[in-house]
Amino acid sequence: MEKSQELLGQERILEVGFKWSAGPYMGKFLTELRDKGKFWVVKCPGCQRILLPPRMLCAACSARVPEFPEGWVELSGKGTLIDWQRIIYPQMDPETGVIRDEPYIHGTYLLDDQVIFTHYLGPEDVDENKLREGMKVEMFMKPLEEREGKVTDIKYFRIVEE
Amino acid sequence: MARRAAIVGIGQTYHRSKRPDVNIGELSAEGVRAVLEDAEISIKDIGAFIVGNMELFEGRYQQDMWQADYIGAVGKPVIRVTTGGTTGGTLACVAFEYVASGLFDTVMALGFEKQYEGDTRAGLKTVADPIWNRWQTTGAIGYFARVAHFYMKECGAPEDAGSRVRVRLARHAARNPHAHLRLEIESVEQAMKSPYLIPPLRQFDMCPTSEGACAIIVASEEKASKMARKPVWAKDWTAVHKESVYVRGGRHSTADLEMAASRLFKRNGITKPMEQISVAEIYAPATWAELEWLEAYGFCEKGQAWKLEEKGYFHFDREFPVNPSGGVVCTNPIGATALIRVAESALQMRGDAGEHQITRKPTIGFSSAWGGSGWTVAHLLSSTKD
Repeated sequence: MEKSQELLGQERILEVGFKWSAGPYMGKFLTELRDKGKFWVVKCPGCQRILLPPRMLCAACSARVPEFPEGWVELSGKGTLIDWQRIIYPQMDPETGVIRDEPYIHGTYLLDDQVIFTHYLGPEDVDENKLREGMKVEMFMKPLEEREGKVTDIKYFRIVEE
Repeated sequence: MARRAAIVGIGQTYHRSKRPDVNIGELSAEGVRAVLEDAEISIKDIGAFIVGNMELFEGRYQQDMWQADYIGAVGKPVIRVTTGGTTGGTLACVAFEYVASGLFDTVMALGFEKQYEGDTRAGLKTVADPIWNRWQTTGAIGYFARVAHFYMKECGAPEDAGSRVRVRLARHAARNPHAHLRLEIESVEQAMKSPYLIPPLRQFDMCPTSEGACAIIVASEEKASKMARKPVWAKDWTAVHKESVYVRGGRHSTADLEMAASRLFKRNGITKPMEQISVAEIYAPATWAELEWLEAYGFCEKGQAWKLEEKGYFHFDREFPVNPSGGVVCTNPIGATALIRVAESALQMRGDAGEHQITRKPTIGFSSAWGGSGWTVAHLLSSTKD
């Protein structure tokens, strides 16, 4: 190759549409969340482990999980904060491809029945310095008209003042 | 095991942030030429090819088809393996299995990545379930910030523990001509000046994105005995998946790493891994993961790795060399990254690692691969047949 050769390349942005099926288990979880603001998990009929999100098969014991509502358990949406992460660098939102506003906080929560769940910790102006492990939290839903059948129909978890 | 398999050729390209001077086929061909030159054989001697890279990173479907012309594989069996971060580790497993099965006597495994051609972060985000939790992914950086956070919390490590690892890796990479990042990071204080990505994870703690390729040639015992290089024997290997699809945000777990290593150690009578194994080339995309995972593999007790790091234990010229190549934190062409672990372990077993050759007598090498926050591939190589 000549030393002076121009190095050509081609640049292109591909926009590809997808449509993913939720299936009856995840689908039921999401419709209950959207329509009633209810948070369901399912107990594996084989090993009694809680499965979140509810799904057809237990990966630990291969038991078939019954469809709603047999064996399904409604959680209260309340729990405790066990961990959090402050996201301070620009991140693409995989839902939109757009860079998210930062900083924001991801919390990890211990819900009823020892269920672990992660979601935003809100509201946006929550003061990280006041956060402590073990603080009581509750699920806070978006208004009914804004819900879309997504996990983000939960707006965030928020600290419950004691 | 049906037949013994040995690594008889090791080759890799030089790794850079971008290689606009070559296309994917040409980059692959560089890896092929390097490994053939090392093995002193011709492409005609290769019976089958196992190739791999990340699925979505370059946006090209059926990469094996595009590569075949360039790597000399036309008319021969080629199989593409693409198991995410573990791709390179799986490539080695399949190569060992092709030879051990008796179907092929000499095979080539080739991994590459050209990360600058696509969007690594966009590709990685598609690992998460699109309905359940993709919306909240923060990519590899988010995951390893959690590793760092948990390691500090559960093992009492100080905030400079990751930086101490970074200094060791910089020292190692400076001695390895193939390493991508060869930064002069001479003190923990200097490493601690690196900006946070997500606290406590700093920029220096995290792997780069690289472009490059790596290849090995694996041969049967009969063929290996006639080759130019001292054969390095595939002693054992395994792969472990854990339940991971939905679990980001579940309890932080290293179950897959523990299971893979303990299975290999048990099957091979390894009860004191740091004594019986002479080097570890582990796939750890962040400094903190090296510490947590050395413990998960069972090389030392939980909470001990950062203390041994403070004592300098893991330097290439010390008691238990870890990533004498500089590791993933210095070089990361992902589809090749895990194969580089195997190749570097083999280089150490052969005694051919040059300036980063371990000072310990090389007997058994441990290499690992990790991906998708839920699975591990691991290998044991041996400098002797037994």
